[in-house]
Amino acid sequence: MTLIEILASACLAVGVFFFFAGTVGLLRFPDVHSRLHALTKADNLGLAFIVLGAGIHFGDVMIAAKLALVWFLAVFAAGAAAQLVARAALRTGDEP
Amino acid sequence: MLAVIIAKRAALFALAWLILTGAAPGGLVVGAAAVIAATAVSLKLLPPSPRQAKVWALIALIPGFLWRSVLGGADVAWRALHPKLPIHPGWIDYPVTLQDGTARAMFGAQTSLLPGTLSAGLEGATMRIHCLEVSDRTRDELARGEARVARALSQQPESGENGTDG
Repeated sequence: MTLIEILASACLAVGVFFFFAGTVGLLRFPDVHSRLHALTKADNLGLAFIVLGAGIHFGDVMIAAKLALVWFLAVFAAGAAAQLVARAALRTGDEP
Repeated sequence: MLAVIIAKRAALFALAWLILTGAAPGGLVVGAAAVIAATAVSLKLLPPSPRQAKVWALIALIPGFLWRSVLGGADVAWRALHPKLPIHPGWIDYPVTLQDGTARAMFGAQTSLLPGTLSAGLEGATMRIHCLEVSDRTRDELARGEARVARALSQQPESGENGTDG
């Protein structure tokens, strides 16, 4: 394995770890709003590391830029969706 | 001023198109049409504010934002995996002084990625923020986050102008 491959694999592994932690949070946290914390923050970070790992793996500026754009749009959408779900859950009560 | 705003937005959309298509020559004509259409739609959906968005100030926010969102993800991952589930959820009603809807939306989105805070939208000029840990440190962090957005989008943090829009 080259250094690049090790670095890319490490980033992918860290990304998977954060997706895992986010899912554990989704299952363990007691209410809708706490669960949203886990989803937005941990998954955002997980995707960031997977994008980073994929960028390192391909080693191409254009692909890296496209991946970064994908990450930005996903974070933007996740942030907006989280706010909307949080607001809707306020109106209808806080049951999981 | 309007021409500058149109140029800035068109440049942003053009950049996104070039990245998505890998600047393929066959896509440039379609891309030009898409950029014009996207700019027109953006002017309709997001009318320019009289307060200037400082592009470089916004770009300067990115590293700190990335770092804090790493902290936010690590913090929530730690809490989720901890056997004792160390969270004490509660609410902070935060009075927002930002004037523009865009600035408020940006503050809300940023807040949701910071450690322990999640925006649940605005009621008038009060942002309802859900916290995994309610503390004075959380309040200070919110105020600092708002000040950063205010500087980049030329908002006047001390004015008492409380619009109901946004």
